Amino acid sequence: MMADLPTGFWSGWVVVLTCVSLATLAWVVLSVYFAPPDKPDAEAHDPVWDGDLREGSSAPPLWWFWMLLGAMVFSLVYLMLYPGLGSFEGLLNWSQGKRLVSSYEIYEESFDARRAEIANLSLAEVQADRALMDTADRIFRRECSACHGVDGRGQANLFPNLLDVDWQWGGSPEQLEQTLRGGRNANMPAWEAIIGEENTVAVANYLLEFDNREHAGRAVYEQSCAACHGVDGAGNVFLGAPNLADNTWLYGGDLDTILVTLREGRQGKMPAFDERRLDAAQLKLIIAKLAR
Amino acid sequence: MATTHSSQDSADIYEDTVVIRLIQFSVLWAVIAMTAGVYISAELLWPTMDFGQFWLSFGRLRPLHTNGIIFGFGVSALMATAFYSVQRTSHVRLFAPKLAWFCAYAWQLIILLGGLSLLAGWTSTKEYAELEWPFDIAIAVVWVLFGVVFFGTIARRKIRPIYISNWFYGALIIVIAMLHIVNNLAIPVTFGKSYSLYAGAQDAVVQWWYGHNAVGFLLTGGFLGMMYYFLPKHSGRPIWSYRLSVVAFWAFTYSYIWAGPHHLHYSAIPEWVQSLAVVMSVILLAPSWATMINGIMTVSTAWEKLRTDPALKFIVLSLAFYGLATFEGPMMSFPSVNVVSHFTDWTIGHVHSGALGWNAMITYGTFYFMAPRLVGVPLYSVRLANIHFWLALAGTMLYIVAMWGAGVSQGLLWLSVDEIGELSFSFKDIMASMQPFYALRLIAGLIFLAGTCLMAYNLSKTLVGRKAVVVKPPPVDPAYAIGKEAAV
Repeated sequence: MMADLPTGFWSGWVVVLTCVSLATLAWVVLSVYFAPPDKPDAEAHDPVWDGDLREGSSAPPLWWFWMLLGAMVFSLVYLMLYPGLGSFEGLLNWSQGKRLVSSYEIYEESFDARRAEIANLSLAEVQADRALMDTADRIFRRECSACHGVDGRGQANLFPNLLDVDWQWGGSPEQLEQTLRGGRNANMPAWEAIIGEENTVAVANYLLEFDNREHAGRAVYEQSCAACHGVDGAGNVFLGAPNLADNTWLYGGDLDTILVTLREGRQGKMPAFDERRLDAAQLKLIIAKLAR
Repeated sequence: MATTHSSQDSADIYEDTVVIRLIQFSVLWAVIAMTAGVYISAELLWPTMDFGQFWLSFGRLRPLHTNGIIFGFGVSALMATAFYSVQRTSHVRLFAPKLAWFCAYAWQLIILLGGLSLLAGWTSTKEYAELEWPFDIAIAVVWVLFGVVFFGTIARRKIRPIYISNWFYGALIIVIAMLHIVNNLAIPVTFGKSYSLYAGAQDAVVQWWYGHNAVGFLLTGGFLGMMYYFLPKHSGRPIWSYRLSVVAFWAFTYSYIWAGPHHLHYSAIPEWVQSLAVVMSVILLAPSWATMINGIMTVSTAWEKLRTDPALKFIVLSLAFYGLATFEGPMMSFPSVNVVSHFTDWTIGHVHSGALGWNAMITYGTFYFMAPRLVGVPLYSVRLANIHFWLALAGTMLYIVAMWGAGVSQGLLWLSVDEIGELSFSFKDIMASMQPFYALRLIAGLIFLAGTCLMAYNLSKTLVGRKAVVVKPPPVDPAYAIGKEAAV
């Protein structure tokens, strides 16, 4: 970039150092390469190291000289065309900053119209287009799969499965857009300190047989859990409170894991994907992939 | 010291026992560091092979692999061959042999403890300079002492002209001292942690000035010193053209030092620095090929020896790989090629065409040459050495081809976009599709490692339990003699 170009003294320093170095190299090569040959009788007096080591007197090949000369001419031309000699910007007026800008321009020229079109398609239209759905898959693998898994089925008992019927924050296109654009923060408190160990164990056991209304843990559930997860355990998509009555478990449905969840609480964080991360077309494609 | 002679007697015989020891250490590090390399290449196929152990993770074994090869295998070999050849080309015993022994053992201790520190997670995070500041200081001290032994020997030489191989070893010692000290300047925080004196783009430029010239002066300059002594010595022919060697030496030392920033194309470093690196990288092709031509022409009247002599085969083949790698390098330094090649396995392939094809092969050749001569018995098995040659060649070729395939695919697939401007392939899918290439690379590494193990066996059978042959310097032509011999 412009700002990187040295000015004043340092520009001159770069120019002089580069040119003097190239000239010195040329001089060394010329003077050694084309020095007059040794006198014929000098052969007998060539130094011999270690019994039989000698430095041969063959004339170096001329094509090598042309090769070096070619490289040096190339260098000079390159330094005339591109920024290299101090503050001289080069005759092509090329810079990596300008190249970046022009790459964006070319990209926008080639694709902006089509992407605006996609952003305005209906979900059904997008879902009917095989090529667009393939693209959606790739965007999903790039942006989402690190947490939700390559196939979108969640992973590590921490990140929700996106292909099942359960939606922690709702599965309508509008809710999905809200989740993606704004991110989500789910907060399950640590209950043991509040309700005591006995009640914690009781409610954990109750969750494993939710339909058994006679269970000893039912009372604790209704008092402490139902506010978010609902009396019928259906959960609440506005709070990100999962359904506890079905067989889908976000953090794991065995007794030990449920106890951990109750004792330590859980924090579920979905980051926000703003316009810089997913533009309108990409957002549309992701929602088309996820919405059903 | 292992020699049995009185100090009076030993004053004018070569100090070769230290060379034998260094060869053994070098081979040991080669086996260890290549095993680490094979292991991490397997981890790229089966990531769970770290078994949850931090010290077995890719991030810790990879610097162990690179440092073990460059500083364990490479530098031990360079010390061994420098000590061997500088005595013979100076017609004098090593200057300060005890210091030479100290350098040899201190260096091994640095590699051993340094290797363990890398496994323990100590790292300055600078590539090929990962060792933390206590090791950096120790390396600087031992390296300077290595220089004292080498230049001390040159200073006491009995023959006036300095043989060309010593120019290269000298450049190696001087430039690496400079690079190592400047790049590793840091502020220590604790015994195992320091922060570089440089920040941001400056840090990057200094790091790659170091990184590229460690390749240039250690892995190239030093090994060229090997070539200039052992190739003419072994083929019994003079170096083809003295003038070409002089030109190549100066053009090489002069242009290499500028080329480092080609590792940082399209980055935050100034563009004029990038452009100069391109230009100098292109010029660098000429001296590199000058040396290759000089070597090939030197053996051009001794081809028949290649049929029977595995040592010479290794050295000549290494020149071919040297020519290949030094052609590929300048091409990759062009920004438009670099856009495809950078951050792909192409770079890994390029490095290994140099490290396996050039550095390892020429070292193997010189070891097969030196070992029998050092102890005065024939090589334990020429047949095994020949098998080693074919294993090394097959391993290297397979490795390079696999990484070319992987690297060029990665570079092109990453850049490809579909009809709406989205990436045509997700990174993960490209990564997954690399499996066949990585499997080939693992096989290649195993083949190359198997060859190295054969050599370790062969050399230990040749060397272990034997004493260094007593060798006295041959007389010097009075026309070129220095000091006492000149007066005779």
